[in-house]
Order: sequence, then C-alpha cells, then structure tokens
Amino acid sequence: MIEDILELCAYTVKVAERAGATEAEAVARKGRQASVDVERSAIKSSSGGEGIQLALRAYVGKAMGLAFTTRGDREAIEEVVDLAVSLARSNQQDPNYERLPEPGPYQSVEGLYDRELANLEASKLIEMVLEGVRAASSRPDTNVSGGAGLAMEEEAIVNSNGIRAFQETTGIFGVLEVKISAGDDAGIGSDYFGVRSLSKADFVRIGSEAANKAERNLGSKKIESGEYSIVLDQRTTGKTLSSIIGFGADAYTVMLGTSYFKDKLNHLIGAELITMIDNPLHPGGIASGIFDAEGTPRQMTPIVEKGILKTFFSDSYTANKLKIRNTGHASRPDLRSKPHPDLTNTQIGPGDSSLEELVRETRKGLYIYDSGIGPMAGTTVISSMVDFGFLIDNGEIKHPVKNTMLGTTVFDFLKNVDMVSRELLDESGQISPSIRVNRVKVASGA
Amino acid sequence: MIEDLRKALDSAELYNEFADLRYVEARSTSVLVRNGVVEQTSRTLTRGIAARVLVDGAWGFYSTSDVRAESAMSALKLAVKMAKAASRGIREKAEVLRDRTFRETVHARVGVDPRQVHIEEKIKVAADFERNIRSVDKRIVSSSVSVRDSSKIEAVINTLGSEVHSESFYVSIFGSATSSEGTLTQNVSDGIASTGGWEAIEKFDTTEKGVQLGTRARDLLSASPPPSGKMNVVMDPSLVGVYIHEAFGHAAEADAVKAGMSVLAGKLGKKVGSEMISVYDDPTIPGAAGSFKFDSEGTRAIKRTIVKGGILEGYLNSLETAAWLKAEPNGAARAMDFSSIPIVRMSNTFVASGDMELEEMFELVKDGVYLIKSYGGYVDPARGQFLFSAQGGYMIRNGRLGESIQNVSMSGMTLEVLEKTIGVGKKVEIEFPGICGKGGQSVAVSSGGPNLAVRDIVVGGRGA
Repeated sequence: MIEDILELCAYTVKVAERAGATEAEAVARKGRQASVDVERSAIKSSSGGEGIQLALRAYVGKAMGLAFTTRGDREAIEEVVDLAVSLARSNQQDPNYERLPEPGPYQSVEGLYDRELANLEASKLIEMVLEGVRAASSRPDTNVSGGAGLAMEEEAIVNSNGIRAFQETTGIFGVLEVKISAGDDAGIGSDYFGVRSLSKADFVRIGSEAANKAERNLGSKKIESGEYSIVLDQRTTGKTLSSIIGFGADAYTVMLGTSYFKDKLNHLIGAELITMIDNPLHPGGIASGIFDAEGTPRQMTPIVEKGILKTFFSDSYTANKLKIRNTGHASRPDLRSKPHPDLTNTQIGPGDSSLEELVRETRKGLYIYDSGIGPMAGTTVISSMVDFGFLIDNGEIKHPVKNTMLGTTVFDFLKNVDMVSRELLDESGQISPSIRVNRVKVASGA
Repeated sequence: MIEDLRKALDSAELYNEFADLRYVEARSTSVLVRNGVVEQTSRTLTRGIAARVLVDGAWGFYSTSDVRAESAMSALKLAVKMAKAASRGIREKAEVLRDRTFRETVHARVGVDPRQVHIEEKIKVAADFERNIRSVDKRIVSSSVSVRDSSKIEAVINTLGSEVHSESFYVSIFGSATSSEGTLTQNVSDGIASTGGWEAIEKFDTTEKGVQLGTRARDLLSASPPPSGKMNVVMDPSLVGVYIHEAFGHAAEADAVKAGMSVLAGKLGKKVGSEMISVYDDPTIPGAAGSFKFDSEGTRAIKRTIVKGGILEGYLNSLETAAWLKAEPNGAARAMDFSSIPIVRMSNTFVASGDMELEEMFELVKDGVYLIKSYGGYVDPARGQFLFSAQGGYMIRNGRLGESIQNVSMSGMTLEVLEKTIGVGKKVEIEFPGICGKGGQSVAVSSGGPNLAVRDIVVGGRGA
C-alpha cells in the first residue's frame, strides 16, 4: 500500500506511460467519514467509514480508457493501468480531445481544513445533533428526523504534463426535518447547513428554523390555477439561477449543441437585474478549492453581468474544443466518470428592493422557499412542483399551498425577473438575494 | 472471504447482540457514445467490507475498502464503538427479527456472461444505437447512448446464523435525444436494463429503437405546448410505473412508516385507493432490472402484496421493520455498495391489470391528456405530495386522441390520486427500468403496470 496519495498518483502515471499511454492522469482520494441518523426525535444509528479511491485516465493518441479501483497497492495499480491502457487501445479516437491540462500557479484558499473538525469524536457529533433535535422539538406532537455527517478528505492529482496537486479538506453537514401532526393535517419544515469548520456548525439554529417552518406549513390549501408572480426566497433563488444558468452556460452543453445559451455569449439572456459570478476561492466556501478535478487552478469567473452572459465555464476538454479559456471548472463527484464542467460557489448580486417590498408589491403571487426550480432534463421547459410555498394576496402572505405546480420556460423566467432584494444570504460561499418573477403559469388542485 | 468474515464474527465479543458482516466485490464496464464520438470507456473494480451491529438498541456501522482478514475485526470494533455512542441518544431500542436464518449460495445463471463480451462489441452496439437516433433528423442536436454491465458478489453473514453468498449481473442500454428548433428544446430517452446476461442487449434492436427515439424527439418540435391546470389523465404503463413507485411505493417502505414519515402509517388493512387498484413489488421476476434473490441482510427476497382491491395489505420490510411491525421479513433491505448501510427499498413495483382497452379509457375520460413515457419523478412521502414527468403525450378531445403535446410534468397527493382512478387497462408492462435514489444510495429498480385513467390531476405546463 502506498500511503502518500500524491506518490501513489505519480507512480500510477509513471506505470501508465511505461505501458504505452501517451498521456495519463491519476486522481486519488483518501478519507474518513462519520454520520448520525435521527428518527422519531432520537438517534437511530451512527456510521463511519474509511477508504481510498484511485482513477486513471490513460490516452493512446486521442483514445481514452478510464479505470477505477478502491485499492492503493502496487498490484491494484498494475491492474488499473492494464485496464485503462487496454481500453484506450481498443477505443476509437476522440476528435474532440486535444490534451490534458498544463500546470499553473495556484492561489491559496483559507478555511478548507479544520483540525478541530478532523479530530471530532462520533460521541461529540451525537451530542451536537441531539441539541438540534431538542431545539426542533417545540411541541409534543413533533417528529424530528434527519442527521449529520462529517468528512475528511485528501485529494491528489498528477498528470503526464506536469500537474502535481494536493489538497486536504474537511466538511460537516446537518439536516433536520420536522413534521408536526395536527389531525389529518401535517406541517413539514426542514433546515440544513454545510460548512467546512466545526465552529460554524449550528444544529440548534437549524432545529429551531425547521420547527418554525413546520408550524407555518400547517393548514396548506390548494389554490386557483392561473397566472401568478412568484417571489423566491434567497435559498431558492440561488438554487434556481444556478440550475438554469448553470445548464445553459456549461461549455459542455454548448459543445454538444444542447445549451439554450449556445449562441448567446455576450448577449442579454434575461433581466438586467441579474448578475452572477462563480467564486471557488471564497474562504471556507463549501465548494471552494485550490484546483479543479483536473488540477487546473481555480479562479473567480464572471458568469452573467447585468443580464449579459459573460462566460461559458469550462474544463480542459471543452475549452480546447471550443477554443476558449479553461476556467478551471472541471468537476468529478464520482471518479468512475470523466470530469465535466460545473459551477462551484455561485454568488448573485444584490438589487435595490427590500425583502419586504418584494412581497408587499405583489398583488397575486406565491412566496416559494427552500425549493429549487429548474428546467426538465435537457429542455427549455420548466414544470416544477411547489414543494414549499405560501399564497400572496394583495401584498400579504396568506396560507401555505399544496398540490401546486408552476410552468414556464427558462427564457421567460429570466426575462420576467423584475425585483431583486438588497439583502443577501451567504451560506458557505453560496450568496444570493431574493427575486420576484412575473407571469408564471400556476396549476393547482382547487 | 466468507470464512474470514465468520472467524471475525465468531471471535468478536458481542454478548448476544446482533451483528452482520458484508463483503462486496463489484466490477463494471461502461461505454458512452455521444454525437458520433466514443466519449468514455471505463472499467471499475471495487471491493470492501462493512460491519453492522445493534448494541444497546442502537445501530453502528463501519465500512472499509481494506479487505485484509484483520480488517473485518477492526471494522466490527469500530461499528460497536459507533453503536455505543449512538445508544446514548436513543429513545426506544431497535430490534431485529431473530428467528429467520438463511444459508445459501446463489450462482447467477445467464445466457451470455457480459464479462466475456469484448469491449469493441460493446462500443459497436452503443455506436449503432446512437447513430440510428441521430440519423432521423438534423434538428436532433445531440444524442447519446450508454451501455453498461456489472457483476457483483455479495457475501453476508450474521450472528443469527445466516450465511448467504450471492452473485448477480446487471446490463443496460439507454439512449437519449435532444431536438432543438428556435428557442424550443425537447428531450426524450429510452432503454432497457436486465439482471440477466448480455443476451438482453443482443435482443435490443438498435435500428428500430434508435429510429423510434429519434422520431419522437423530432415530432415533439411540432407538438403543442402542454396545458396547465387540473384535468383528467390517461397514463401509459411507463408513467404508471413511476406513479406507483414514487407516489405509493416509497410510502410503503416500512422504514418511512416506522419513522412516522409516511402517509401510509397506521393504514394497514384500510382502504387507500379505488378497489380497481392492486399493487405488488416483486424481486423474483426473472431478469427484471430490480430482481435479486437475497437482500443485503441475507434475507430471501419474496413477492410482496402492497395493495389488494384498494386495501393496504403490507409494507416492504427489513429485519428491523419486520420486528417492529411483527410482520414477515420480505427481503427488502438493499445496500448500494459495501460502504452503504442496508435500507428498505423497492424492486420491481407494478399495478395489476384491469379490464379496459385503451380506447375505452379515452372515451371514459372524454377530455383530458394522454401522457406517455416517463422521465422520472420524486415524492415527499411525509406529505404524500409527488411530481413526475412525461416525455410527451396527446390531448384527449371528446373521447378521441387529439394533437400531440410536449414535455410536461404532473403532480398530486398520493392517496387522493389512488382514490381518483377510474379505469385500469388490461395489459401489464413491467419493463421500465430506472435507478432509484434514497438516503444517498442508488439501486436498480423497475416499475410498470397497465394504462390507468385518473380524474382531476394537476398538470403543470406553460400553455393555456
């Protein structure tokens, strides 16, 4: 077993080159995880695990073979190299492929690793979760579920063009869901966090928030179908704009021709009120990092400026094909697959309205929170369920809604944003205001 | 390996507490062809050990990719440590059913072992299917096909005496097509999956299926925008599959019931839908994508009756939920891989047949929509609210099929929708495979049924 994963990657690349690979890239991740599950307002289980993952991309000319293993010994390396190189030899040449990325200067990012979190015992995590459960149990008929997890990970990337990168990260998340039963009615509320340091993990806050939301969610009703304005809370705004703009500005979908923004670079794609950057260098950001999944330096990238699309975010494959700058957005949540571009910490600019004004100036609308609205896979159609929402009637929030859907298109959605709040929510580097979107079709069961 | 696990379990000081050890070894090959380019070929080899214990009424779990003999003992000790920590926060002690043991070795019998099929053949199948999709029309701006096969060995032993060694296979081929014209983009997909061998892929007609998929993608460009509002709906078997999986199946998973997070909690023996509705989950269907012989707790998997004639008959159980419900364990605890704890999951879920022809259902509905080909969906089992999507469909006008409509979603409340079923078709199809996600774990499932007619469903389109 090669314990140092940077050396493990370097050795794997060397063996691959010796076996005939013209280019090679090895990625290794080694880590430990612990988690706690909550059921019926009590602890149900505690889990832990440790392991190593090693993936090799080997190229013979422009043909690629990828192999993956959960071992880090020399025998496994030989096997992985043999599999990847033989796949590459059997494979057809990929005309879109140019070459693996070159090394570049890395910027330091504060707050990616927290020693206190790395040394946290399972028993301490359980105590913290129980504090959250107590905060969530505001009524006797409360049922709290959810859990928490923490992870410590080392990641190394070495390629045959000279990239040699290593980073160590920690992370902890918590999620608590509260169900309040009142006869045939049920109020559901949940809250969560995902942070990189123990001092920012606040289970009591999410417990209290989840309980408040569940209480407010009681008495949900179906509403009349029709055309409504929708006011999205900050979390929903962040998720929704990241999803809509994230698909359209992804250099991979542009390359495939499936992006609805493929011919919109430096053109208006929506209301001038929308500005969004991607910032993987945000200190302590949950998606922050020194380098991307290919070892390319991370960098801040403007995506949309006053409604104008500024960048197709890319990895080396798409950047080379489209002949654009590699923005260092390679993402590889699963090492079994090759990287693809993805956003990191999206940060949406503020507007000049207050949160209160967004609701007060809405005659017939829905206030949607803790949700994500996105296009149906690969299309321009938005057809989403309102998971959590309230009816707005003449500027006032009324009752929660149920069995309610909304329908629009990505173009209409972005065009019809007419108010943006000045108040921003910063959740570990994901920064967002609230927005209002007009003229959305709403269907409900009333 | 099973001997190493047994030695570790026998020598652990567990004081009559329940424990199990699992060893999982999996290999897979996948090919992805997109727009005429072989974008990825990959092979994976994973293996690891998981220890699970129930100590002082709390669960502890530990997994490791280190498979040396001493690792099993080390994982057991760490699992005990986790359980002891957890036991300080429990309210009532969990238990498992202790009077069922299984000792069996399952050899997968397949016609053609996918591991013996050369990678070039797999690339050829994927490339043929992809080329046929794309050949239909220039407005198909992107098409892709993935071909995947995997083999898995799962060995489970526990302190009750169970010792099960299972071998299984999985093969799949899926294609997707995106058509675009002006500002309109539509997407369709289709494919098959099987727990049989490579012969399932050989039977798949890449020419016919490719042209069908491409044609559907092309035709959606001239279809009408879908309607919006409450309307009568006829669902095709693929949509019925997603409907019964998402809307009902998840609520019938007994861990959700035990957690108090299912709308079906407390409804055993009660009416939960129209008397025309019967629902089953059957992991024993040979070759079906969600089939398996033993679950990840080493319990034999059997066919489960969930609803019969509108009455809730049973839930899907693990050893823990069976003990809690005083029910038979039915082998529904599945783990995605060695690093995942077994949780209650579906297999092949379907609605049983009725007595109506499709045309009769259109007449019954009179005005509404006929939705075809599912896109997947999701559910909030605590509130019973669900959404699922169709790749397209047709308007039903005056009891006849009208114009075609584009991609659209529909939503409803689980129990309300089952109540509102007004017609059940004759022919059951359970050939709609998918990957179901729950608790961060993805497992292969399939679902289906006959055509169903339901009144007053909320359809969320962007048209009038």
